[in-house]
Amino acid sequence: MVNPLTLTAKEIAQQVSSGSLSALDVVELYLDRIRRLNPKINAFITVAEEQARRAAEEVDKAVKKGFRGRLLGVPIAVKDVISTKGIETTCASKILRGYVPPYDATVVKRLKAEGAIVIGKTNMDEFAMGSSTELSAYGPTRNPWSLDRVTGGSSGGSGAATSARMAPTSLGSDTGGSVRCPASFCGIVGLKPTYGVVSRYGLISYACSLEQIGPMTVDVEDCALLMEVISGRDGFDSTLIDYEFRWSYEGVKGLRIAVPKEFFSEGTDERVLESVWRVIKLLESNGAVYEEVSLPLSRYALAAYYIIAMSEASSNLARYDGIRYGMPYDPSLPWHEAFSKVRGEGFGLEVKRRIILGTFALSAGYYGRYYLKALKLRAMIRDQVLSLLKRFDVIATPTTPFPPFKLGEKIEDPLSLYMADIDTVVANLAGVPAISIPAGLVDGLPVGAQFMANYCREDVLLTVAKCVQDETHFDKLVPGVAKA
Amino acid sequence: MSGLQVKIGLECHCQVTSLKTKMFCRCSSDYRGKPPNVNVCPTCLGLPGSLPYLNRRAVEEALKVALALNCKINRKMVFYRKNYFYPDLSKNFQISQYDFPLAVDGYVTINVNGREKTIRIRRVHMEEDPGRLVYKGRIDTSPYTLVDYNRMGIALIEVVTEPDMESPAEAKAFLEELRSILEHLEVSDGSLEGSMRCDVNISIAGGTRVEIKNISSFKDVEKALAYEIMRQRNLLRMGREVKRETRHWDEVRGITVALRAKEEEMDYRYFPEPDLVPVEISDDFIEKVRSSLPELPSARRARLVEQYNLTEYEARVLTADKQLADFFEKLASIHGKPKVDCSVVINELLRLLNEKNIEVRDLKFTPKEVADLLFMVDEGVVSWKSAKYILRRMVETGEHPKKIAEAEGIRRISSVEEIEKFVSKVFEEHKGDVEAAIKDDKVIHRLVGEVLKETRMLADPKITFQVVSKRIRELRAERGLASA
Amino acid sequence: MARSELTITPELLDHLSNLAKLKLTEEEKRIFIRDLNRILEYFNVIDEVDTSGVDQVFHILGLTNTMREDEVGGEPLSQEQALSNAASKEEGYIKAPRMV
Ligand SMILES: [Mg+2]
Ligand SMILES: [Zn+2]
Repeated sequence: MVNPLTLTAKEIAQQVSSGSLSALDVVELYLDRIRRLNPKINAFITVAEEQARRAAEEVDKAVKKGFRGRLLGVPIAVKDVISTKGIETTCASKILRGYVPPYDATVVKRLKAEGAIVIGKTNMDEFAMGSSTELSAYGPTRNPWSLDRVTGGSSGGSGAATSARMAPTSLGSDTGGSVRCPASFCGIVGLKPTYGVVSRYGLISYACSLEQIGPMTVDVEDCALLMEVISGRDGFDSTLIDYEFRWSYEGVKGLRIAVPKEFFSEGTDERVLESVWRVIKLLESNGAVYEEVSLPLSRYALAAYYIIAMSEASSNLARYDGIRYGMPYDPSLPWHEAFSKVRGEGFGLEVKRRIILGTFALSAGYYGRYYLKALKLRAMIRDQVLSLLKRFDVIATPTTPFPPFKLGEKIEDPLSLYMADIDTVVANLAGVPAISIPAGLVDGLPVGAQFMANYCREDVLLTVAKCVQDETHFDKLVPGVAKA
Repeated sequence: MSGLQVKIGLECHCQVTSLKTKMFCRCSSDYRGKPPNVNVCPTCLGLPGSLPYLNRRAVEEALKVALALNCKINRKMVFYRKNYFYPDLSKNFQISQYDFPLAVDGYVTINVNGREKTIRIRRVHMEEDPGRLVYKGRIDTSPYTLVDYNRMGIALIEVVTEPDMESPAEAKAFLEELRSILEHLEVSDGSLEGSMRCDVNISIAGGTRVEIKNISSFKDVEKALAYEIMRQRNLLRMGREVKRETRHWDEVRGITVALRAKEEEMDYRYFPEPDLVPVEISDDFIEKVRSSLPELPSARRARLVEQYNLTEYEARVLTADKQLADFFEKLASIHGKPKVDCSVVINELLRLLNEKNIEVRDLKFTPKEVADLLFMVDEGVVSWKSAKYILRRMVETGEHPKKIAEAEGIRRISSVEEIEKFVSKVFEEHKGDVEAAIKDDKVIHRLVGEVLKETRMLADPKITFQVVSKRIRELRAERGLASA
Repeated sequence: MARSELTITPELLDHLSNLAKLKLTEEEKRIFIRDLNRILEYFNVIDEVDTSGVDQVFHILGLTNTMREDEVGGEPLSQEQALSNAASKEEGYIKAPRMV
């Protein structure tokens, strides 16, 4: 029998391809793990048991007829913000409870075309608004490394599911760090691709100018494999650029690393900084060179990010009115009161907070001061990042300023929760790719190192990650709860 | 309405009926007459995760319109979101334009009672059509609303004028000219129901600007304006203020009604649509489109006057409806008597169209059949009077004029012998009139009338007159009387 | 914080929640008046940056002119699919609340 604690997606696909494993065996194996672990961790909102079995049987049939795919029989945990045809997709919100999309997101279509199997829909902060996966209408996800800690967010369900090996790989979405933060807190790899290389068709929008779907994996090569499958134009997302993912690992010799001092200041936990430095030194010992630099405008990134994200969100979330899908409206009321009521009751507090702030930032008299100003600041930050990336291959920073915190610790204070994104939002503002890789454990809790690269240079990020993985074997780190 | 300074501005929404698909999705643009909600996809239904993708031809068609309206074209065009809630909008925002519209600063020349006037165009932009709402009875008493999204996402071109019109008649003249331009461009077929709709704003000296929304056909604009001028004038007369507000045109009751204040509180929070990218319009592209523009109504009018020796008035009536002008030109090319042909088209045919409330497109015959009819008149086979009757039957039945004439026994009686028989009969039955006619020439006409009646108006009146006159002269000679 | 220093006053909050069609409870309003002004105060840090002469960003990579051909296709939905998630429907229409 296979060992899910060590098996990569690539290996599963190979074994299913060669016939030494059936897709159904693989699916049953992971369903069994989900059954045992999910009650403790709450990584899944929906376990697509029946659909996954049926899909596995289809794959097995197809394999017998000669069908081959790069993800043959590989179970994928899909964040519940990504539309899956015939599988309930809630965005962790009451307002979308019961919504079953009649169509697949482009990424899901592509995964299926390679023989992958959607095993379930993972928990998240409601509408991806949050950094801890506590703000879910379906209860918080618990960190497999310590069940009283948060997973980070908003793709915490995907992070926890992957970390606890309830699925070999998963998809998250990253608007301001939502793939990288939980990857960091759960001790796995999380990649936010360049803006415009992975289709957002079917990704339920939070802030469309900032977000991308990204792979969350234990293994760096799996991350590359998923990237290969999900990226590229689809004819449905008009913000996609021409892009073809290619990567071959040739080591980090000569790699130039920028270390911006603003990300290494007092605000960040000392032990996190030590971990990130260890990674940088490790790369140096493998032939990379680093230099301390400055990215002064990063000081304004978090404010600019939240203004833009909330503004877009206020518009993106307008469509939830109870008419076409989701929580039903009260038919005894006239339309505007019915809309207000269903939205007032269907959205959680943080979502409402962001809608109100976004409405404010776009409203007459404030647009110029907040939204437009933030857009211009965004251009300036992008230019500063790009000018740094002319001299350097990557920019190294911590992924988050602190290790995983206790459930409930920051929930009363939105601003302190927003601070979790302080190191990640720059990449979303600039549109550049960024990766979080495990940088070690602090008090037994994972922390991440983040690397950003120039547009479409996901290959450089994977090279960095691969080097660190080969040296530290972070892919072999398994949380205690998952070893059972 | 003299003595009142009225200022009227128009916002005209014209569907681009020449497209095969909607503006932002690949659904068919042919939504009319279909069952509800069968012409939809995730995008136009506003499903979570769906995205817009711009139709290239929609831009070309809008560019044609902007050029025909003598506008300045913006080299960069950006779509914005117009945020407001309404049950006909599937996303609760409308993709429209704001800053960076397609074009600005154009003009159109109109003619009212022989007086020329220039109406300035403020802007031309593109936006999507909302869905269709159906009520049980009246909007304000309907217990619920039914929504059909088949129309949602149809491409619209919005033409916004400066407040340059000073009477409902001028507004009507502008709308007729605009419709004719769009039809000559073959961008929009104004005869399709709901393809051209209007919001108007109107102010009277001493009052404030009032907007009237929801005028679902150009025809109702004049009525709505007339009502609104009367309403505002009455308010001012009574020394009451005209409130700055948005009113709805209730086409059933023929009045404008104010909206409730709470719904009216509007702030559209326009911001650039992040799911679409800017469109750059090159000089080459503009020139390509400009050089492909067909003949426009103003040029066509000049040519009709020149080529067919028509009056300005005749040319204007013809070009007000492209199909009518096309019909005339085809008829003239076959029949070859432009003055007669024009008279037939604008006096006889147009009157029938108006009477039956149908469009040229609804005619069940072509100009060829009308030419055949006119040839019958030319050859003396039917009278002019009968020809008018036959044309009416053609409109009603679509039958060929020869067939109608035959079936109804319509021919022209011009043989003297035949007419003499009718004359004998009438002289027998109207002895008194005959006696009177012998004494007084004027009474001859009464007898001619009786003979014509007897022939069901088929006899040639000129020959009939000659025959009757000859008989009277003979009777006078018999009695030795000279001509009276 | 003195009431006069609030950017988001209770009146503005009412206006915003009407624009956003969000019915808020009294408790939520109390929380929002407190939190939103603190968050805005934090946002005001952007006032420090002079952005004059900077062009606003549209697509962050500067992408323009993605358009498609005018051909029917995509992912059309059947009426059944289109209505499948609507709570209330009638004869193929989706039922919405009354207008007045
Ligand atoms: Mg409009
Ligand atoms: Zn559609």
